[in-house]
Amino acid sequence: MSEDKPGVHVGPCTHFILSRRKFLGGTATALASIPFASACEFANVDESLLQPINPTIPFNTSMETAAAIADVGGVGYVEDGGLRVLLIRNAEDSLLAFNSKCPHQMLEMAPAPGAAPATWDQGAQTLRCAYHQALYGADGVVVEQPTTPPEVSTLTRYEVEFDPMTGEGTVFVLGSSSENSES
Amino acid sequence: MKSMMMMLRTLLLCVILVGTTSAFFANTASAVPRMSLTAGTPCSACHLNVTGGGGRTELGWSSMATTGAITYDKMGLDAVHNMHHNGFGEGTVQLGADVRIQVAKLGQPTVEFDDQGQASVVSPDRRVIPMQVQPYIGVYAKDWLKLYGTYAAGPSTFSGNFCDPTYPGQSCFAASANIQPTYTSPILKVGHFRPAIGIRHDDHTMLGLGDASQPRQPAIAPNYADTGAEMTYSPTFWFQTSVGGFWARNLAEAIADEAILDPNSPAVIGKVMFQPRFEGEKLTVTSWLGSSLYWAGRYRLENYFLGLGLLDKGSLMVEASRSDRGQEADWNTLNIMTMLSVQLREWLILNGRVERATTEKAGEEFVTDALVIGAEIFPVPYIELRPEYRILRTNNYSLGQHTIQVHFFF
Repeated sequence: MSEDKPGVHVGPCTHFILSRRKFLGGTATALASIPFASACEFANVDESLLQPINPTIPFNTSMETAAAIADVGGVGYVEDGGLRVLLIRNAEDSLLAFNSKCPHQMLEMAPAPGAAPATWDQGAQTLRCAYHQALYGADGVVVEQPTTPPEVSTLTRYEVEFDPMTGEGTVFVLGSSSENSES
Repeated sequence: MKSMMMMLRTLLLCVILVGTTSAFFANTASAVPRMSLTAGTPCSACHLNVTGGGGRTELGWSSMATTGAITYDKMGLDAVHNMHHNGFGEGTVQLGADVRIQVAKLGQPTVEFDDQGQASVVSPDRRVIPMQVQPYIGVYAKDWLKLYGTYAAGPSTFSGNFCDPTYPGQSCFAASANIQPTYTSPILKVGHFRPAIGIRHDDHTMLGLGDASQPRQPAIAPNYADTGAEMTYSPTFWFQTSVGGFWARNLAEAIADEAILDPNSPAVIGKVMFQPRFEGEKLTVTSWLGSSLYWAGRYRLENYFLGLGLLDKGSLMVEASRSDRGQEADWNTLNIMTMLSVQLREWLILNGRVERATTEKAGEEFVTDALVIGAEIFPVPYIELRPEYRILRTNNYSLGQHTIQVHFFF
């Protein structure tokens, strides 16, 4: 128990009040540090990813990264500037084109070096991200949510033209994409 | 009075478990090695696990029951303050729980293009992330037999998927029987639990057991556990060794390559740890030094660790972790971490760490650096706040952000 001091009323809450002052002081300091910490926040990416892109990206199956789409069920990719597009040969005469970053945590889904490529199920027409198992339909809409937050809605999908006879095609990456709400 | 204390205990548990209504969990382990160095006690003094982490012993629980900027007696909650243990049935059964919620930017910066094709960097959104809801139970069945169990809720646990681990190789539960015929005997642990790999930390964002080439798919996942047996012997206070064997089913799931590790393969663990302590008139220095080897199929993980502590003042930890998957795989990792903690008050600890994770895989090198500066603040007992400022730099991006974790524990 504390002793009485002149001018200080000692009651059951005295310790609490004194400690609370210290605590509130600490809390105020912590709160004041938030703007400072916010000012120190930054986000940068590799310069190569910031290269401007063209409205269209041409490709053909003789390209190493797109060779797999010569066969139905094959998955490849094509790049332009800082953009990588996932290509999926989902039928004899049809090709799907998605932004290769899974909107869940923006991890790479293309069969590129260093990535764990997503798995395309030709029968079910679904794409499963290898990292947290998010499952997307052929329209890019999420079918199964990933195993960790946040939830996602759709992959960014691009219009694509493809000639199965020549193996040549074009992805239209500007102004034709169905943007997902999470990216 | 007794019934009131019981009610308060139940209430506290309810408060902790109320977080289970949350929908998503990232599931983490829980152990704070810094505490072992600044308290000068082995992990097993405060945790039911002999190698640390998880449920707390009566000593571990009671040492935290009065750790707070404001203790409960100063708020008029004497009944809470005067709870002396976390045991029920005269201490036969010990309960505990950890609930963690993190506010952070999850993911990595992305690039967006405007209608002219010009690129701009977009920082990931800040989110509230329920990380862990994990109750523990320890049962002192006999003088020589202690049972331990824990369960970690997953993202869809409350949608009916009871066992729903987040990461490949993660286990939604751990359960073990700990047999020690006499106080000085070796401890035999049998069941489904995490092998004694290196030093166990409660922060699963640490790079130590990670992989710079696939940051969210570590070989040793948070709450990794496999079925097996492990013997731990500590013939003197300054030395401890563990050996064990496991059925590496969950590890194989994380490795995801049967050519490297078949799911039916055995795994072996070996660990030695020296814990000399130097007591002076004014200063007591605690320390640990050791290494572990975990080996299954072609996968091999080596951990080396050094810790120095000043009793009640601070600690310095240096750890290195090296793994490879055999020559054919061409996949090696080397992760290094240095962490400094300074205890300003019992309830206020400042810490900082630098980490580098390097992976060489198929001729490519992936490097991730992390700098984390933060604090552990216990405003009241059973509640911890961890504000941090983190910088993460990888081959592809760098991200600086402030985060905060709220940790309820019992």
